Amino acid sequence: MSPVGTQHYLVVAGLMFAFGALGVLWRRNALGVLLSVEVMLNAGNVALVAFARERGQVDGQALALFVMAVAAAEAAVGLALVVSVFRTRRTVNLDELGELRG
Amino acid sequence: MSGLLYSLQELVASNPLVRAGLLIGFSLALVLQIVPVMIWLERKLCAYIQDRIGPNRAALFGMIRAGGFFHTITDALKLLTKEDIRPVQANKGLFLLAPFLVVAPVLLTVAVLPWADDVVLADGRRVPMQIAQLDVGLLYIFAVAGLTVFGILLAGWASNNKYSLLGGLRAASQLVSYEVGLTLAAVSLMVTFETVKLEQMVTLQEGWRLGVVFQPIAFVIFLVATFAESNRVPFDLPEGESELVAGYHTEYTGFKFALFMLAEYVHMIVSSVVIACVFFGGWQVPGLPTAELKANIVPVLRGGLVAGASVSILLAIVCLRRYLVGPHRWKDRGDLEPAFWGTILLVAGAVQIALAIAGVTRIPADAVPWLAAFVQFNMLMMKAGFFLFLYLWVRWTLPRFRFDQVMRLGWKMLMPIALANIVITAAVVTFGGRIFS
Amino acid sequence: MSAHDLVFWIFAILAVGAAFGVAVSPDPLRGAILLLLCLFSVAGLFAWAGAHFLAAMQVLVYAGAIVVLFVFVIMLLNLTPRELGRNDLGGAQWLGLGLVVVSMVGISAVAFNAKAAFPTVGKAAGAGGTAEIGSALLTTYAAPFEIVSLLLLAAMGGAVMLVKRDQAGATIDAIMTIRAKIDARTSRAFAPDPLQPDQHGPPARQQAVAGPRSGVDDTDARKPGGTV
Repeated sequence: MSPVGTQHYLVVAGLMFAFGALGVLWRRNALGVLLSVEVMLNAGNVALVAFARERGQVDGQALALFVMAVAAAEAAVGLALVVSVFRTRRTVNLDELGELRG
Repeated sequence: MSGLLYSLQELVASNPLVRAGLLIGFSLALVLQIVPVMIWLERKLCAYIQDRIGPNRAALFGMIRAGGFFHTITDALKLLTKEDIRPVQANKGLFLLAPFLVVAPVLLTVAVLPWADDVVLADGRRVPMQIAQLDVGLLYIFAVAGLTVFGILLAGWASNNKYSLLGGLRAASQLVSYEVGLTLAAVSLMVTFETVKLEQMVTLQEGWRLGVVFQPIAFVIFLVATFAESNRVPFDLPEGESELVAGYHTEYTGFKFALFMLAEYVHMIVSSVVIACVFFGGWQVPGLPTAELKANIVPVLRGGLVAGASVSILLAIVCLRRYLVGPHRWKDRGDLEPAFWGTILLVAGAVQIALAIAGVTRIPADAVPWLAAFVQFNMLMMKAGFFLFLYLWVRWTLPRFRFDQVMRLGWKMLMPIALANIVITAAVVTFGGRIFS
Repeated sequence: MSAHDLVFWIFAILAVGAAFGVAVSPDPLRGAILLLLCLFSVAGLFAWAGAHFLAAMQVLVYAGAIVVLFVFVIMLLNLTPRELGRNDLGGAQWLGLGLVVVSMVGISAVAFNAKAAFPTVGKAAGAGGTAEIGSALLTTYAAPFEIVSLLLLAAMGGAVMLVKRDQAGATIDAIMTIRAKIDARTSRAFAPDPLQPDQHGPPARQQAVAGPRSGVDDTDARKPGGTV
């Protein structure tokens, strides 16, 4: 087994991103979709950190911090939306939410 | 004997894993052994504040009661042997997981506590007296302590009980709110000390230049926030017995309940040590930086031993007077107890005087750094002990806050004051000159 | 493989496994806990790569705040399986897993031939200290820093506005929840259908309804949770 390098991190990031994307596509539950989106964002962070480490710069890590902050904002607003939708429609099932109701 | 000690010293100095392992054992043992003492003190102190005596019955050999200290051990045994009830509808996995999620993070936080200054050996190698010297120091404590919120939320949810859920949600919102104030107060500290590492903050505080002198507002905010973070009165609404039965740990019995209590007390101890380190100089002996401490180790040890001896002999006189003269209330072998303690204290006092007179002068030069570390550790324990006493004192003095009062204090008072403190600190440091350069 | 590398493998496998678990778990609470595990493993990966500050921030922000928010919302909504929605993929998850693994193996075969291990000496080895990131954030990246803080402020305000109920709505909610409680206790045969939110009890009562029920406080007899 070769010593761990950037490529290992990129494979991990790729797998995580793929699973996150699959979760977004598969799950019929708005909360589950938001969870999967968080996984995707983390995958991006892993890739950023790997490149930052390889080049010896902190720019990748600073960018990862910004991604983290944006993810926090997105999670907050997304959850607020889910709560608000649940109040009126009493469901978070995406199949039912997708139907326009008069 | 000295050969064994030398080889141990060599092992510790050369192998970082051995050093870390020994320090982990030491830190965990220390923290976990202070918990029973804290529980005992809490009950006794509570009693004396409320003008009564408190638990004083559990005895060894029918005689040694030690002021009710063994009640803690009996309580622990009782908790361990109680039936482990699980509500039928509760989520089994989460119910089991929750206590561990509360205990594990607080035990992890002891990893960055500096127990003493680096021990500098004769050949110049430094042996740090903390488990891990992390780059992020104080942030590690905040990050890991923030994970206790999960355990509490899951405990409230998994109990399948309205009151537990309410208690869990309230506790979680309280913890999250005061985390904000705590972190902001710590930010102004980081601006003052120009470092995030806990051990550097302690090293910089020499003499009178303590953290509390430069950041009094941050000290107050930090203190209040740690009270809230440990769910201690006046912020213990989530586990208030008169409000929510027992809040998020209503449905927990036996060992799992003991884990919740353990987590609370360990959190208290770690917070006291952190406050002592960051605001009051930690292991710094006032007026004696490490080098001077090592140079004057003999008078310092002598003074400490004499003080200890005088306290021991004073207590011995009190005990023996009680045995010889005082009212014998137990009417059984318990009346012999003052004699027992009196003789032990007399012997201890005599040993300390003997050490002060003769033993202290014959310290080998290699042992001096370790003895200096020992003195510094005792200093830290005294300072942390004062804050632990403060925790207990406040608990039995102040009434409990209502939940909306708790939220208002956290968001409307602590957070803006902490933010203003950061701005003022930054302005002073930028325009007035750096404090610790 | 050294012990140092073994730690990486443990974190990597945990992260990927937990990510898969988040994608397929039917219960959102279990998904949130698996997300917690995933984030913790990613923090471990960050720390392994030398990004200590980022690892601490990951635990503090992501695991300590965002996932707490998720768990809060999951507990407040207190969803029955009917409201959660059908999450039965019928075996599609294994197909997806297979596709992902095959594609990653293919990509890795190309990537592994080209790259070397992480540099362990020199400039690259020491990067990632807190001071370095701090100075980078406040000098090179000062503008994005400020803009992100504005973004967070906007998100905070937006989230509060989204869940705020106005005065009339709050009163109607209170009335409706009390009515629903009475109905649930008196007309036991009737169970409100979550797919049709305008039913508020036996049909006779529906004419008395002033508007759509918009309360989240689940004080129906059928729900185990309580109001917060």
